[in-house]
Amino acid sequence: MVDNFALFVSQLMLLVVLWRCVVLPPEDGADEPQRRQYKRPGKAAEKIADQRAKGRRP
Amino acid sequence: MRDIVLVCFILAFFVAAFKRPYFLVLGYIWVDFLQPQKLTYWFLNGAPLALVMAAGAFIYYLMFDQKQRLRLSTVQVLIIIFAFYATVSTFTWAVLFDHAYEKWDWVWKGFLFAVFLPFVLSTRRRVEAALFTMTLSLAAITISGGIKTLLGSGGYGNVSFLVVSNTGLFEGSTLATVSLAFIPVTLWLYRNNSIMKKSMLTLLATAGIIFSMTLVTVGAEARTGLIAGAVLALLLWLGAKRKLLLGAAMVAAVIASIPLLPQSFKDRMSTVKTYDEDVSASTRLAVWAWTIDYVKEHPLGGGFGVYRINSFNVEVKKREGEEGNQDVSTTYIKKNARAFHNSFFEVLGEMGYPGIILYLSILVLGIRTAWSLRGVTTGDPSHDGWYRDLGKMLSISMITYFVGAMFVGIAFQPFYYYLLAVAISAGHLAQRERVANNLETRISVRPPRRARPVPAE
Repeated sequence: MVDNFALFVSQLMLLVVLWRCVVLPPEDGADEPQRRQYKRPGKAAEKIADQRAKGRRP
Repeated sequence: MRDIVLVCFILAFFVAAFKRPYFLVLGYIWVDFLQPQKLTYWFLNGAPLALVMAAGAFIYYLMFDQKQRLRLSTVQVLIIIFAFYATVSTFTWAVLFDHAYEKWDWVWKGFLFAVFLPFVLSTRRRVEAALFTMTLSLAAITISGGIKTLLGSGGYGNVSFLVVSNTGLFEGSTLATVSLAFIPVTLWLYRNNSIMKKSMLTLLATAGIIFSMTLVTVGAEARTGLIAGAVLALLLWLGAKRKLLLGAAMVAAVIASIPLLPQSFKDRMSTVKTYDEDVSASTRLAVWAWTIDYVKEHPLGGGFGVYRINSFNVEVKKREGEEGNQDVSTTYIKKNARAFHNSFFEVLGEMGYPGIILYLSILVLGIRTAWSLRGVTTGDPSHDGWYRDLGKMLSISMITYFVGAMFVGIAFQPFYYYLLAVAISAGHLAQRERVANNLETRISVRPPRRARPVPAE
């Protein structure tokens, strides 16, 4: 009974703290997960058009 | 029911880590402090939770987290060397390999994780979150022990702190030392954290946790707690701005609490003066003497758990009659396989002279790392207080921890190394802020060399 109460109270406090860590805006962006860098959309099409303009086969 | 809640907690760490990759590091700290696998009866019981969390933390860091360019500090290198030395000792000259392997299995994980921690604790909020996780995981045990003490079920070796176990934080003397060491950290969190706003609720929670940490020291009835507690009170008083007020409050609290202390606690504490009458205290002195003799013959130590081979006669004195006209009789009791009950002798006996040199170096450099934060200037005065107060409180925590460690073998427990990792992280953060505020030109772990004075012509 006492053990469960202690566990409940302390872990509830921890849960609140961790929840705040999730919902608060990141300090300097360092908390955000790193996103993969994809190529700019349409970059391939631009490259083909550029090569066509130069008279080469894409 | 408890299993389900704890499993949900573990899953929540993994899910939240997709948004905040450092959450698995917090999960590892949580597992290391609370040891949920010992609190359950079926699903989690015996599961390699620490390994799962550590692997997850490392993978999430590599895949999702932003990496900082950090150089290993001297103390981190020393911890790596210490872990390597412990590994070589275990697998080559350990006297009792099975016992040595059992201890090595958790020691190396804690050491390497402490080295890894500063790479992840790269913002002030992460540092705060890590300290919150440590404190509140510890609080689960101290609140339980504190309430039991209030209900009168304390006693040396009798009270169960959340679970009946003699390992980690569930052992009375270890819990007393770690609880006292975390009181300054709890105070710092209340004063400086940016996660929870200051309110009456947070004040009450802080006061309740600190009260439970103090109560558990009484409940454990470990003499370690009395001595470490006195040192903690002295250090907090020395570091306080309002010394007169705090001093008066401390004296009043001590005077008020003495009549409320259980008689068994007073009896046990009184043995500090007459240690040679107490079998437990006399045994410790005998173990330390045995350790010194052992390393004279085995300078590299005997590996983890070597104390199990010791055997000696303990001299116990008994005084009868009034002071000045006492009759002192001496008896000898045979003792075998007695634990070191002192972190420094633990390292000396298990790791020999190289081990104790490494350990003392880590200890001194760790306190120096924390101490150096007290004079930090980041270029932003609103941030300086955060670092300076952290430096002061971590220094007090570490010194309290080592005073307690003189009476309990906790040299390889991870708690000190995590505090050290926090101090290293804060040092890196301060340096990054200095660079951002143009007080320093580049990130460098080493302090800039002083210019040599030009000789006068």
